Amino acid sequence: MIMVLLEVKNLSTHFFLKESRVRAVDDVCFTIDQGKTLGVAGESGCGKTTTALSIMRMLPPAGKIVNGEIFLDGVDLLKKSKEEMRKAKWKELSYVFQYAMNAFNPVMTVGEQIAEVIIEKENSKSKSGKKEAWKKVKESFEIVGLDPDRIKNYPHEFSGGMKQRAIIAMAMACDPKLLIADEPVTALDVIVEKKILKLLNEIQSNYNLGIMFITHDLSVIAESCDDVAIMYAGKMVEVGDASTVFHKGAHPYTRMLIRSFPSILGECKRIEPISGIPPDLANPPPGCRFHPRCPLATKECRKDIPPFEPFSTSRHHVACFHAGETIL
Amino acid sequence: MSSTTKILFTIKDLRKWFPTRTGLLDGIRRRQEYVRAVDDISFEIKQGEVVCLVGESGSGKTTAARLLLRLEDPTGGEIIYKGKDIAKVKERQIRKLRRHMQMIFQNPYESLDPRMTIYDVISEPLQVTNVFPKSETHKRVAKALEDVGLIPVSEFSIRFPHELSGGQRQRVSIARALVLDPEFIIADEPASMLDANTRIEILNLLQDLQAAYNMGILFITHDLAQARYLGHRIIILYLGKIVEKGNIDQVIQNPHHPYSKALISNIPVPDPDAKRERIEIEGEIPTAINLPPGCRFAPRCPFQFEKCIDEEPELMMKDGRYSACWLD
Repeated sequence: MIMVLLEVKNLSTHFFLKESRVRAVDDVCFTIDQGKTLGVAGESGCGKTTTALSIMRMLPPAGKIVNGEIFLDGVDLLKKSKEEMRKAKWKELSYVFQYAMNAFNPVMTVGEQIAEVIIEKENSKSKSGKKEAWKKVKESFEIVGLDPDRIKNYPHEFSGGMKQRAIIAMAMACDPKLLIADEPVTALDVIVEKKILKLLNEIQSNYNLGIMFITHDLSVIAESCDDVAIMYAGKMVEVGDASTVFHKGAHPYTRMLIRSFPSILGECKRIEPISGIPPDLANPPPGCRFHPRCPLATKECRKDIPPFEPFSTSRHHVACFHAGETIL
Repeated sequence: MSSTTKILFTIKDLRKWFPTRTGLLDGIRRRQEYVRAVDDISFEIKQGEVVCLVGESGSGKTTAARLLLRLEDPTGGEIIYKGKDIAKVKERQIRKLRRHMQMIFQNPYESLDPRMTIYDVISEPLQVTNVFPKSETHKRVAKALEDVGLIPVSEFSIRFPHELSGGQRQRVSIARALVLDPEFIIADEPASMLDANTRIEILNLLQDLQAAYNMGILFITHDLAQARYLGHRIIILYLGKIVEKGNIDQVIQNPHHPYSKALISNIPVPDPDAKRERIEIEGEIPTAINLPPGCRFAPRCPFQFEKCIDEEPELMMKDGRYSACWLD
């Protein structure tokens, strides 16, 4: 029986600037099942990180969640008070930021920084509590494949891959149910990247963890995710299991995006990029936000917003009036 | 490409060792250690050819490129540019040659002066080198902007870098390199910081310009998919040594060296159902100090045997490509 861990319903997050309102995330719906990974992909500025920050309730001051519900294990995170939310972070859901591995405090040992999180979150400031916390730090090092003897090392003594492992150790230290990882492998070399992806997969199956994996690199998603969500200009355009989206993707944006990744397999043909640039979200085009760049766009697309509906299966959702039509 | 094509660069046993900082006692005892960033590498670049230099961070790719332009002085070896060894010639003479060889840097957010207009950025090389009459400056800048697709020229000339997108900024860097009519360009990860769609635009642009002006390009990247898309030949570096070089399709489809095999088999591909054999290797790339006497890759190599630890393998020709491995 598959249990839904995270359910995001009609989430809209807007940024209120002096003269304009930027619709960074607009009416987004998706779910993440227990023990599954959802890969969220799209060009920069499409709202991937804003969606994640909305779930964590960590938006910058100008950002406001104007609509929607976010259920984690049946509880609406948006109804929690600030204090309740603060307690939930790291214990219920944790977040690995983009470039987090460069955010270690250079004058504290890696172990101290992880212990700090555990002591704060488990409220164990007593002597025995601290001892317990350090035991947990060692365990968390083992989970991510780091030598537990290195908890007393400083961040500069770690390589890039090791720092990324340590960040994952920190995120896992309080046994969260959901892990949001924002571009966790982007700055890493191929072989280290593969190892970190493998590590995330292992942790996931051992702890039945739900993972939201944000990246702009579709190859990484193909490699490591069960489900895929494609975002464009603050809208969810397609969600489905990885195999369906990659092979039977129905939204023209999805298919054109997948096509724009050169591969080392198969023939090496010239790839034609998608023409134009993503729209200004302070002033998005009417109708479907992709229509100015879409080869299938018709009158309808310029006028009405396409609904986000089931397409081939109940799990495969697409927002397009021309879903599945051939692109010439 | 015919074998009669003009050779631009012949690199012979090129070496760059950086001395490590040592204490006073080590100085007295004459114990100086070196980081062997580039260690006796040899290759050629022909006119109109794209050679890809591939390797993980710390493999010496960027140092090798900087040596070619004499931005670093080599410790040893020859850099023969059109029949003349430029490894030891004086800085003043090098300056005259540099207009024929230009560089495109990785990060377009850092490589453009924020206080200069696009016109100033692109015309600066013309002023510095002073090889073309002043009256041509305007025409040449306009031509370079047109070549990289920043049209209308009059509109882009007066803009500042912050007004442009990442892809447009990278086009400016390319225009800056092109404005001197170079024969040779070094492109150091020119598309790695960009979104998939913009990346393809930049790679296509480089491909078109390369063909139009018959330039030689040394394309530095850690991404083999990008290398294959653009390149004719490939050089794979590990810890300052060439482990394999040859025709790019041959090497990617059938790598000989275990390191190349590991690198290629770990590249993520945009297909969740692709079944591939993976070669796993231990650890991460070490620093190039205190290298073992045998093969540099031996400590991580899954196929190593006695000979690998004792003796360093030479680059040997087999089936039309070179690899440095005792197993081959």
